[in-house]
Amino acid sequence: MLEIDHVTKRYGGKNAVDDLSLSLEAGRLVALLGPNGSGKTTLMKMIAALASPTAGSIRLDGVPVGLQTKAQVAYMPTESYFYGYMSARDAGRYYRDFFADFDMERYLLSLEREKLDPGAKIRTMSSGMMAKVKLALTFARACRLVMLDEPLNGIDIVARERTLAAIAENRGANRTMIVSSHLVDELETMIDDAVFIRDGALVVAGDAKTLREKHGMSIVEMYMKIYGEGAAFDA
Amino acid sequence: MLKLIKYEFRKNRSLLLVILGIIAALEAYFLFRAYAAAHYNALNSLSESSNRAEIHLIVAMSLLVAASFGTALAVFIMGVSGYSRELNQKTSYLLFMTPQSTFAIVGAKILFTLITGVVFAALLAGLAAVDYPLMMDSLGAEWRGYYNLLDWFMTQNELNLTGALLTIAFFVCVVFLSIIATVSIAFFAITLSATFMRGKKGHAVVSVLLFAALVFANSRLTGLLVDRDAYILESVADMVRVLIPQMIQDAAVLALSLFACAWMLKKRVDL
Repeated sequence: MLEIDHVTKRYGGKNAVDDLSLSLEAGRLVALLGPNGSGKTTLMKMIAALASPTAGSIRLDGVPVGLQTKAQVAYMPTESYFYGYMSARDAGRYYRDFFADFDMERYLLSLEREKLDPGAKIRTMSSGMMAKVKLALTFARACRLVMLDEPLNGIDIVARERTLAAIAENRGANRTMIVSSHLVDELETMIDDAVFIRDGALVVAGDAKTLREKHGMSIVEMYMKIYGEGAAFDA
Repeated sequence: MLKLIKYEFRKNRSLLLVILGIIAALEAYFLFRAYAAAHYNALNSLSESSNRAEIHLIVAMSLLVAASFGTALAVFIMGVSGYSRELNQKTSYLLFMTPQSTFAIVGAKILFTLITGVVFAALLAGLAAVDYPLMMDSLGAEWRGYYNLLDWFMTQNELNLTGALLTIAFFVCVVFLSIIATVSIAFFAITLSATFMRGKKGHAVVSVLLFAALVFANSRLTGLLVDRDAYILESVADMVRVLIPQMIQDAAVLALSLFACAWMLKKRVDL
């Protein structure tokens, strides 16, 4: 479904993503794991066609990522990306205007369920409330690929639980979901695949269950081993 | 593209309302001063108060004229700074994640600037058309009406009514094309600096310097294409013929800038 073929992204003299190849199947929940600065966001931006690879190619259902695939990709950045004037309802209208797969009714229901006022300005919201709006917008789209960049960052434990529940709830057989995080323990039980990257390069990737069996440790333990100081990991 | 333009207006609504508010306030001031001057004029007063009323009226008209230039500058800055902000802030995700081509995105921003400029120009021209005779009347000066002005223009240039109106429309097009070509050069400078200097200090200064250099180069090219001596012409038809190369140059600059921006945004600019 998603084919990443020897992708490199160079900023200045440094490779943010370094010759990374990866293949993801449809309907999987994938954890993209790595510490801050490991290249997770850059990789996601390239998949979302918000940045171009310096080398290599990315294909979604055989189509090189770009204008055509943007209609099939829902990308949720970690930062606030809304215009200053926007209320939660305005943001929904914006998505409705530009994404044919956006379901306004579903979005408003999500806001209602989260007890969020659609008329409230997003810029005045707390980071937890804003995260809920971003998730509601993203999940109100019926697209092939959903990417959530650090959805657990900067939110309290209650919001974190709600976010994880929303992720679990919005999984689908035809929808691949990539969730980037350095908070691995929360994702451990729910993911199908794990992708570990370090300094932009792929360390190890695969079916989470198979990885656990092969290495005889949990995903959290693998994370500790891969990114722990001075530790070596045999992929 | 219409949806993109709609959101350009929505994003800039507050600033547009501020500009409208300033124009409305200055127009109200002018009308008040026109009324006061007319009042003293009706009394045939030669007092100091009458003179002061006339001066106030002329100041009010001058403020409206200054506001016209200020509006043109504000619209230009709004269009250009809006684009610059879009490339340098996280709101760019909202725009560029949509399945819209970079050509449509840049085109919508240029069209928004053009439409805003045309609407404000029409508004200010309309106000001027009403205010000028009012001012002349309030000052007790002779005003023979727009019909006579048009008649004079037609006689001077040996034009019929259609010819006169087409000539005026042509000059309006020349002016707007020139302005929008300059806006597109600014977009090009911003995109170029975003391509090579993203995240680096001083990219805004580089954009401004690049813009100044490109505008200078463009004006030098205009100097080569347009025969300056030919401006001393016998008829409007001659003047139209002389200005056509400049129109073609401006259209080419606009098209090239637009395509270059769209290409760089697609291939080179990372958000």
